Amino acid sequence: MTATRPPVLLRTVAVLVPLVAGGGAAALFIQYSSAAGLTAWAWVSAALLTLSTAWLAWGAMLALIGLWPTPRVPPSAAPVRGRTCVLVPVCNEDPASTFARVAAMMAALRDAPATIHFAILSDSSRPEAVAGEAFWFTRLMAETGGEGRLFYRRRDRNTGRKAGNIADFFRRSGAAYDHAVILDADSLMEPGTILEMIRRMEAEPRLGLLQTLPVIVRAGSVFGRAMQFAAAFYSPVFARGLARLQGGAGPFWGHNAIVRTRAWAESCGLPELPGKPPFGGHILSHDIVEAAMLARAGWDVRVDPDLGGSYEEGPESLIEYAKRDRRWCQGNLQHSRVVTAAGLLGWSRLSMALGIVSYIAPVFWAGFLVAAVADRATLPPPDYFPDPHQFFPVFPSDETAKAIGLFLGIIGLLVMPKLLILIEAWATGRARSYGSMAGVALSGLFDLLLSSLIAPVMMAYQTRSVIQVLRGADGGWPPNRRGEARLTLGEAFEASHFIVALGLAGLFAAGHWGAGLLPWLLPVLLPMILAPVLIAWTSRPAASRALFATPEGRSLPPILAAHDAILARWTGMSDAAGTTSGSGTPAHA
Amino acid sequence: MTPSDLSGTAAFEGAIATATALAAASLPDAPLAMPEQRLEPVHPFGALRALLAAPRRRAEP
Repeated sequence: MTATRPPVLLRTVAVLVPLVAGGGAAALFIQYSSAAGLTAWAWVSAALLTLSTAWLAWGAMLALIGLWPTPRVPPSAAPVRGRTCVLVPVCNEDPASTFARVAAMMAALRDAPATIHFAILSDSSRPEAVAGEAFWFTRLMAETGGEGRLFYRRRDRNTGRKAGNIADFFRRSGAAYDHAVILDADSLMEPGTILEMIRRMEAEPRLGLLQTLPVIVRAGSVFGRAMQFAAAFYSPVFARGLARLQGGAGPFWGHNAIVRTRAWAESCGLPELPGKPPFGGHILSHDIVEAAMLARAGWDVRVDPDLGGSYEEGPESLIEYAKRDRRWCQGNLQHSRVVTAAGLLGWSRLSMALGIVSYIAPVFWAGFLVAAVADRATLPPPDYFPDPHQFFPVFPSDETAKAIGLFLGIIGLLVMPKLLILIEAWATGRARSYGSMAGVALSGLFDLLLSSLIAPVMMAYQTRSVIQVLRGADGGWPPNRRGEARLTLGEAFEASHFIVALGLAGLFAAGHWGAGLLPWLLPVLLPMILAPVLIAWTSRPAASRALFATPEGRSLPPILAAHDAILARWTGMSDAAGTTSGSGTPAHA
Repeated sequence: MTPSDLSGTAAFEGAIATATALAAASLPDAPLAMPEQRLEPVHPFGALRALLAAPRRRAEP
């Protein structure tokens, strides 16, 4: 079996440009620092700046490569021959809402020209969740008449967590199916998308895994809606860039994807890593490793960003986002044990390495800021008369222009991709589905402001996560609190007081040792000092429905509407969208 | 028959319905082998060592 030929030239450019950008930033910084005398801290700062800038430039490159649109592949009408099972792994989730999603997808696929079964794979352990699942499954079975095509299995021990849950299905029942669609508890997919994925798998026997680009839906808070807008508006372009570079070693994001059963079973049996967590034990971020193992075995792994109709829900507050990020941080850092595994494709290794860098990059930024202040603190006083016999003083050369150039370059790397995507959306007419062009531009502007305010807070959380993992602390796998958002100022302070303390310490240090740096550091330090206010405010329900509007928010996709109708009928509530919290277990269950 | 008897009957019938639905919903019995894969790190000089070791092994009686 030969895999898809990789785009070597494009990959080379995509890797070289960020390295050159990082080197250029370091050179400018060294020139700027040398005016006042180079200290060891200046070299440390330059090294950290190289890595941080290269990381930013990599993101910008993905956007540039993905900028021009791909013609949409028309849906195929080929007959579906194989059997497919849609897997819905759950772990202490709200069963009413989750099972209503299954009911909606089963109803939408009732007349589909394909054999598609559904399996709910429960790892739930909380008694109320287990009882709720039994109750709502009875309702689901009665309503769908799903005997023989709807299954429920609960494990008493959740060995291997989600990856183990999925593997258990393959070991028990994998031979009954040609394909498996892997979902999350909050996933929803249009029936047309599921059918198109099966057809693409059947048309390309080399394809082992096909990933869709899930769109975040149902966000209600300021934070959630900003994230939902950014994901919907910017992600397709970044995903297209990634798709153009992937060759046969594309990504797997753990859900909203289809896999070839045989390929998965023969390639994706995950071993336990030697040693104790956080680096040993079960592989937490299993998806990237599974994608790499499929590619290693010669199967193509691909993301097709043109596949629409794929939905998921996102965190509604910065705290929930940071909690999820803590898990992902540990999972990605654990990949340092896998990245050197024998036989992996180079691109798979690079993808894993970039995943690790994505969590270390904020530490680089934090380190750069600390080193810059330390540089100022240890700088010898200027010597205007290096020669004792000279008559006129020698002033250090003014390199401020270089510092401003460097600052603008870094801001450009952050802003330029978003600006280009805005132009792309306007030029291709994509912006129309978000409302008016002015509305999209305003949403883009507010997203930029909000993400600039949130970035220093996330930098602090991610730095703490990396330190915790390196110290050997296992973050475990706390369950998601889907749909629960609003936080009081007290709750926000409880979760972020260390960030406030760090911000105040930074302000004192910069004021004391590097007053000249203060204007540069304030955009970082102020959001840190005001973190509780920022966290509490962004967790509030968004007042405006126009700001951060998305196509799915403006016109509810059919599968989401079907889910809402079923859930409303089941729970007797008029607004199903607000019922995603709690166990969903009725009092008599 | 009192209301509490009625609710007890309803709960019993509910439990029976749940047990029946769950029993009818067990996964198909179609096992598939899923061997555990190896993720041992590659040794940078492993290939070179193997190359050097090969002639020596051939030379052994």
